[in-house]
Amino acid sequence: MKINGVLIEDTFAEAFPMKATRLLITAANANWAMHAAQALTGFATSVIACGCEAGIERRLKPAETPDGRPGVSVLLFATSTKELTRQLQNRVGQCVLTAPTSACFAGLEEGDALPLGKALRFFGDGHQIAKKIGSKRYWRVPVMDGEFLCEDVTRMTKAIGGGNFLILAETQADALAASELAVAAMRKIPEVIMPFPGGVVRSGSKVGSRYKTLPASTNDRYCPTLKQVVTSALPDSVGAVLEIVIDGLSVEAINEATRVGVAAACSRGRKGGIVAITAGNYGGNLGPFHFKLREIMAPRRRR
Amino acid sequence: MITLRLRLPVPSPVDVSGLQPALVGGLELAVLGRMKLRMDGKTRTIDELFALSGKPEADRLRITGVTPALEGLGTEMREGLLLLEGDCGDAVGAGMRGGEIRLTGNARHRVGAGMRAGLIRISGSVGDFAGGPLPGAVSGMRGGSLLIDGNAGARLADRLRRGLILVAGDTGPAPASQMIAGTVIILGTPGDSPGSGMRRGSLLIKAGDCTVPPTFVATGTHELSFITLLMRHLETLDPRHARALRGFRRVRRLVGDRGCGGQGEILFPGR
Repeated sequence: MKINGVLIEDTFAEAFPMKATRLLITAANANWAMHAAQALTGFATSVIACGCEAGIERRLKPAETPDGRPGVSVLLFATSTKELTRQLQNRVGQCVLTAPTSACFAGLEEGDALPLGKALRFFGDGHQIAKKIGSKRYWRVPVMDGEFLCEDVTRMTKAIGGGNFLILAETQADALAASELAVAAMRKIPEVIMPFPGGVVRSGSKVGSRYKTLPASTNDRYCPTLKQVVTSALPDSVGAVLEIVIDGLSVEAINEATRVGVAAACSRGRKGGIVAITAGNYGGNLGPFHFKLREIMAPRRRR
Repeated sequence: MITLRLRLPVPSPVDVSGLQPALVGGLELAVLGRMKLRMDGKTRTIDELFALSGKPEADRLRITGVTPALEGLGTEMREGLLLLEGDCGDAVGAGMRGGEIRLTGNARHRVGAGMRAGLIRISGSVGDFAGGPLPGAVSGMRGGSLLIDGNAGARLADRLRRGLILVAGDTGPAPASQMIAGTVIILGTPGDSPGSGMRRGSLLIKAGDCTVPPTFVATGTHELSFITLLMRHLETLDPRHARALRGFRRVRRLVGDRGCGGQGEILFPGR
């Protein structure tokens, strides 16, 4: 299969089950909501060393938020309920509670409850106020600019982490330009995040290393500078590879993000220096979710 | 929906706590008419006391010509819609756990006493201790919403523990007395000593010139995000009342009753 002359390899991305939640962060204006969201989702690129993977899903208009202020929707993914709970409390406590004028609400209506304000309320040192409005409970924690309003619990859902595709390009500049196009298109898709910086990762990894203490190391088969040194997966024409990792709340969301991302990357075409699109997997035996590139990119039938 | 119209006059109190939508709303008129009620130590059939009309409809029931002689209206009600027309006696919706009561008329004391969930709407006025405790109980209302279009008597929301009470008119003395938690909104003029003995909870008073007990301390004027959430919730219950809260975007906040170590709050519209 080729799109605009770009080869779509007959392979699949191998992804894993995760636990996820969505938070809605609001503030007096969009800037401060974004400051809080960026802090909360900082250092959350990979569960390997960050504890969770997190990212900004989208900006929210005042009409879309519980308190009628501008906001940001963020998604957090972790490998266990315990770790998600820990990351949630640490990150909201250190990054949202601390941000001027901010408030924090659950962004999912169904699923198991995870403590949010329920845990953070103790910062109020006895002056916190519980407020039940309708069927939901909130905490009002006194802080130096007024009150931090936080929903009692958020909801956790089953999710998927590790969807991905790799862009093989002639030059680093070509790979970067195609990646930027892909991420820009993918950010319009709900229920997904691309947790790496700018949505793109250059240091794809393989399992294991020659060092005892290092569980993952550089994916040498895709490093262009090692083409004649190791058994390379790269043809001679490829000078740079960039990967886009996708975490999502559903298979459908990751499928759609992959579809628009690959299509956008391929829009530069073979003449634009894009050689091929491939995906990372471990042979299919580790992760239960397989995102097959050619199936996802197959032309859609009209009804 | 079945309508029960009271045949006047009823000489003595009748226990009608069993006339609830989920229990009898779906019964055939003939079956419902043969059911018995207790009055003055004797049993009377519903047919003797009420004229029945309409078609059975599960979870809906209307009672018209209501007088204070009908006791236990909506007591411990769990679901459905109960429409009442007339002037009720004491303890309408006492211990209610769900569903909705709509009263077109007035009610006497202890409306919604000890209710845990559900919604009571009253187009007229109510007596004392609305949303308060049942006699002998430690706390008042524990959940649900009580919306009163008219006035309320003394000790509104006494020992309220959870839930929302809104009074569009004025209240008698000591609204929110000994309040434990929850939210009370008074759009008219409150009586003397609002919030006396208050432990926690929020009392929103639209009339800015009301005198609060000296044991409340002023904390200044603030913008509190939860007011927006409250407004949006009220929009779903009654948009007229939600509009009346617009003046609370900034609030003057007093905390008390410090005389008993309370951390409740009285909120007035701020500038």
